[in-house]
Amino acid sequence: MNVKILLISILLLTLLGVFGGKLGSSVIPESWGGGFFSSPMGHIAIKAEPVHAEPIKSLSLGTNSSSKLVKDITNTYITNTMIATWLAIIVLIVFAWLVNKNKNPIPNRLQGFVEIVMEFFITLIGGIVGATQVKKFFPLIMTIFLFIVIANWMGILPGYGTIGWIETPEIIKSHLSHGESSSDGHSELDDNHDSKYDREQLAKFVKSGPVYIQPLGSVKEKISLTCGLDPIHCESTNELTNPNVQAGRLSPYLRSANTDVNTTLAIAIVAMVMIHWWGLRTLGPLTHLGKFINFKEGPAGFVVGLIEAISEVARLISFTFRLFGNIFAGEVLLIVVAFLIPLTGILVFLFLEVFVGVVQAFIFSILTLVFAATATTAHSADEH
Amino acid sequence: MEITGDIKTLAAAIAIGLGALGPGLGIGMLAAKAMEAIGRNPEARGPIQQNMILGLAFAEAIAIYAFLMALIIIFVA
Repeated sequence: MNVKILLISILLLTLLGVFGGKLGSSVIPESWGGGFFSSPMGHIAIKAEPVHAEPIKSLSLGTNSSSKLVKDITNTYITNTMIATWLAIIVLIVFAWLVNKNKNPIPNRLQGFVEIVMEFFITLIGGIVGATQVKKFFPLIMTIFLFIVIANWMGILPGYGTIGWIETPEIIKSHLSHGESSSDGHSELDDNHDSKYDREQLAKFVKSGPVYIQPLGSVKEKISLTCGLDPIHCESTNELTNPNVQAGRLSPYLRSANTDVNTTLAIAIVAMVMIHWWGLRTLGPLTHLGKFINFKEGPAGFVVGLIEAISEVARLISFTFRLFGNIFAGEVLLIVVAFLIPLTGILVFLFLEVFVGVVQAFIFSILTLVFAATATTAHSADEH
Repeated sequence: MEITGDIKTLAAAIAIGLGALGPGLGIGMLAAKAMEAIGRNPEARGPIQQNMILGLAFAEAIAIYAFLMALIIIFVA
């Protein structure tokens, strides 16, 4: 009986979403009321958004230096992906503490579950590198898997990407002019910079109580920020006079940790450094580096060594962008689906994201293991 | 040359569209062969699945490069 009511209500919500969303508004004319549920599409930013306006001046050195790199280092921002990363770390620590609190020879449910996961990985690693080597590789592989999977799954929780502060046109303008002044000395690139921001779609937020919310059905009112060659002279159409209405775009406080290239690059660097550390420790520096700079086997061997060296860099890049691309594409997919079919359309894709999150974590950790296994075995002459 | 506006959108669409074609075929072939192998030898399901997922990751990486190019075209170039 309850299941029946649930199914019927889901069906009704889906119908409302299909006809009331952007998908419906392109079929039903807007004068007939199509798109009554749709809000403007969320702002997609490839860079992680800082959660505060002013940079933290962490280092006092180089304040009079105009180099962009020095400015980037000294002007530190706390970004929303950083907060999500810290949250994932806290969750993992609390989880580890809970599991370790009452360890028992007869495991309770939580301990049993954790033991199943651990045993799965122990047998998996044993199958690839041999049972004697498990202790060496297990900690890093398991850490990478747990961190990525927890970060990915937390990234699709409600609240991630939806609660944040409104960047008003003034703040966007100041970002644009600030961004231009920091990339000084590139006058030939200037029109390139401006044409990037020729048009920004803004959303409308209505004050309700102490907070601003984005009302349903506000897709019809288009507010856009048009910038000419000079970002200071940006003009927003539809100047708002009502003090309870604010136009802008949303910068969420929390954003899935792996939608930032910096996070995935950091994990990839840790993985690659450890792979080479293991290689150096097991084979010795001469044998390990001899794989890449190879004079023993003639010119062909030297070229093969060079290709190996390049492929190590390619591994780093593909580690970084595989995880980033998958999770970022997933977030964009969720935003677009929520725009096209509001209310229930997102459900199917949430299941997909749960699956993608665990598969990407698995791939990252297992590829690390496979590369580590190849790095710790000597380069055999009969390979080519 | 500077690309802007509609051409930019089109360029990004073509980049990911053509870029997804090859990996899509590759992933399909990989999965088909893996299914065939499991059908022939059901006991080897575990290792076949693991290796298939690894292969899928490599094939998928190419689609991710195309996706990245599309992102660069839209947001950076």
